[in-house]
Amino acid sequence: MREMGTVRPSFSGPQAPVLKRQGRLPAAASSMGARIPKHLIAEPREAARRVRPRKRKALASSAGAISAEQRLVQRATMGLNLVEMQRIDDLGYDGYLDYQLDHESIDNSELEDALTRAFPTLSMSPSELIRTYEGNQGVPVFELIAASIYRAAYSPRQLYERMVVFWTDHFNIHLFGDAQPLLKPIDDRDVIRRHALGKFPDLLSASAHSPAMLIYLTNDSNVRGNPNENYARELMELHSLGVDNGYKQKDVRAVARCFTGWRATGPRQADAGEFLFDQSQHDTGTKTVLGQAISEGGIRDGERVLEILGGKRLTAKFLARKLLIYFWGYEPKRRDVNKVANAYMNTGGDIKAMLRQVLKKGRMERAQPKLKRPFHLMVSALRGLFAGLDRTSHAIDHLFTAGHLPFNWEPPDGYPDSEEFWSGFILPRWNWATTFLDAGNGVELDLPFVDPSLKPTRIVSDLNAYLFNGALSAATEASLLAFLDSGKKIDKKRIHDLIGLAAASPDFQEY
Amino acid sequence: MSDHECKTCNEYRRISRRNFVGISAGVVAGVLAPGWLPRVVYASSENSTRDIVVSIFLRGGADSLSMVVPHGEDNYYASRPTLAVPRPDSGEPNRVSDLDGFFGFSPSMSALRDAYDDGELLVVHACGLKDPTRSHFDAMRFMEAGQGGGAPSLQTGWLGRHLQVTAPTASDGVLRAVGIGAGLQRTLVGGPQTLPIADLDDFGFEGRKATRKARRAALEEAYAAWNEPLRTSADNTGRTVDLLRKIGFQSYRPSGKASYPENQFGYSLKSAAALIKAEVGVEAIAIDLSGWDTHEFQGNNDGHMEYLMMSFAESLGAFHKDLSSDNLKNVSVVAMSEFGRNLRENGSQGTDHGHGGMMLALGGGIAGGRVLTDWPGLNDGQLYDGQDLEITIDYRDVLTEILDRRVGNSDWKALFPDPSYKPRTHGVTI
Repeated sequence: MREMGTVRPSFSGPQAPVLKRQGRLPAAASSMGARIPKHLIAEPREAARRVRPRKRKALASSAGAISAEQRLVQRATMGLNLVEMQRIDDLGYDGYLDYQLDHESIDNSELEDALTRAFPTLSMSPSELIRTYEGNQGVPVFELIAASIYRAAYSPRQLYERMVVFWTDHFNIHLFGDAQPLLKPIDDRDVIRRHALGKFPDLLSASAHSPAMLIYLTNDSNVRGNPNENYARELMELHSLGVDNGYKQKDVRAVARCFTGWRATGPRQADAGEFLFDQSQHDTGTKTVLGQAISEGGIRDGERVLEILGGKRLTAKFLARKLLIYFWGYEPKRRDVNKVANAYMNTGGDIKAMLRQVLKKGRMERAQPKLKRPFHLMVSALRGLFAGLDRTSHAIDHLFTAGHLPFNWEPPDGYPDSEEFWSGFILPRWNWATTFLDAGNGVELDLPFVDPSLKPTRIVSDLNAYLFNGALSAATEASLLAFLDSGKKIDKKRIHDLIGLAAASPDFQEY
Repeated sequence: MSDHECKTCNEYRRISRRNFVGISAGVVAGVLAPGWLPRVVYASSENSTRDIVVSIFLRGGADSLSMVVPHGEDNYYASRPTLAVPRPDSGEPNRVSDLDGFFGFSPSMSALRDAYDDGELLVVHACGLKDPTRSHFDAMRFMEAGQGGGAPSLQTGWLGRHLQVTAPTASDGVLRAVGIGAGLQRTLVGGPQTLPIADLDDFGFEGRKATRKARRAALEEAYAAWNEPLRTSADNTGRTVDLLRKIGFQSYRPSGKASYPENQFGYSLKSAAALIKAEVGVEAIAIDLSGWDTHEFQGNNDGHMEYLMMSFAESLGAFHKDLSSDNLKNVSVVAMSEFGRNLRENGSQGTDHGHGGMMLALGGGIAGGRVLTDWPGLNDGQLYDGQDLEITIDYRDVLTEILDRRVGNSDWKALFPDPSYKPRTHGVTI
């Protein structure tokens, strides 16, 4: 990227809450010249033109009444666009779901190759990261955040990217503080992305072996004779069973003892930043976890705990509920939770099997409206408009202001997925929507309807097709038309304003 | 294993320090232009005797035993070989500053000494949420919702419900409550005319001027036809933009030579003071200070706790000084945390999750200058679950009394709807 992305932390370690005006990470000093290849965006854009948006049938006007197909595309991707709608037309509901679930069959090599060239830290080993960037941590921080934006917006593996966001919250690691700037990139690559659509027990185990997680939750100082309960508690409360769900304080203490000695190799070692089990700090006594005696006395103690937790129906139900909230609506039905949990129990925690249940057609037909979080909002606008993104600094600034910069949630529970948390602070959404197309913000637009010679009604209806699949509400459509057709001269800038208004509209905040 | 040094984690901690500590630069310099007019007088004050409530949440489980130290307890010193703050009579440089012969402030809390000596800061010790949970998230949820425990059932917050059941202080006010932050604190959920705002000084419409009015009109029209909660949120947003524009946060000059520390919390409290002095009808403000989950390297005099306590005390001390000439008589500040921490330090020079904690109340109508407590003791037989400070004062008692005596809302059943809860009066207010 040619840009000098300014990534601004809100915390550095537990001790330093930082106001946006107060702290600035050093910009990525070694900014790269690479860009996302133009044709990655141009090809879908061309395909979108062939779809001929005006011919698409406009659908019902209020949220909740859209087709199951459109709902699936909205929920299973980071934002619908005409290409995805065409795809589900071609494949049918189940075929589309199969397509998205079989993510490894979707070729994303061009994007990944481009990102690898642009952002070398994405493919470094922990020791390379520590050696190279210990004194310049802004570089891996920036590259990880920028790559997350590009992947969410441009990866063809869209359901996979949705799940990466989900697991990033579930196994939250705050990027700013301690060694996380140097080790979270590894966790993102080797834990979250490796297992995002795999088996949950594998993901849970990978996370437990992740140096970034062990340091973030201070397990690296959990030692024999004087355990530190931090990781042990969050492992049960946030990662598996759910809060106060089938475990007691004595289990927390026992699990902490099982994980004594789980830490990372030191930053001065040749293999710095790798997982290390330190037998000399391990409590070899017998522990009782959830009624089961654990007495292996080595690394197996912790592994046994992970196996026990991964095999619990409580874990299955906890995940089922969270997945339904994420994909279906804020108040999942108990019956649905049980069905998704059954899928987990029947398959040894297969994430795809759970998603098949969650995203079933009959269920999506009854899905509740959900509010996009700021990251999702931004990415969905880029996707719907087939917009290129040449630099990420405006996007990153916005996400910071809106309170949703990736990896910047300090406590271990991850960004909330709730309406009451996000529905108040909407001004930053409007401000982003109204400025993201400004020159200098790196967003590149090439849409046929950005053409002042077209009739206002045509421009609005095309915009409706691109961003809403024709499902814009009557009131919003009228307000957009009134804005465009107010007697003032229609030029490209005014059409950009119109697009910004559509992205700021209430219709576009939901999905 | 108190001799264990955990070399590796120390090394990783040093990595972060080296990189991040030096970064904070270019703080809001607060260019002090002379144009500050303290009163916008936007709203008519119909009930100006009602206190404005400022609710501060110390997130992460603040170690109350380090903040207001029970230096009269031998077991405090026995349980914390590296973390205990030395007794007031110890002659150590970082010793406790005595308050009443038994409790004292950690030296990092000394910025609150003036407020305490003025009789306007009250410490309520051995206080908190009686539910046994040690989960940050459940405990915060219970306390913000105003529950005693059980299963999380209330969606709205105690302060939000207070606003629901009371008429606005100013009939023409547009903003009754602000949660400083990008997302609304549960404490305020349910409150009418309530918005989360990350930075009060940065709340305006952007985009090119030529179309700003027309764009705003289009958005207002679209949102007015939409569903809740976005419809009301948009309405509040537009009116609040107009309101806050009239308040010159940039040029705000604190009174009494108060000096807020240059960090997020100090900036938030300073903005809150400006908002209070503007008298625009704001009735409640929620502010967070996070990072209190000190499982390791707590370091009461040189670690995370020192930084947090200083940040907290210096900010609140400045707020007290700033408002004391006038507005403080109509302000009640409460500070709380989801739980205290284990009496015994762990092997990482930190403390794990505990139970009893404390609350602080500050204001002109607060019966301060003392430590209010029914102290349960810290000896082995007196501890909760064998490891923590017991709770003898329900956190809701403190809130009920302030809302009743200082805000004129005696409907505690609406605020804390729990059939098993009966408030007790402890003398929090004058």
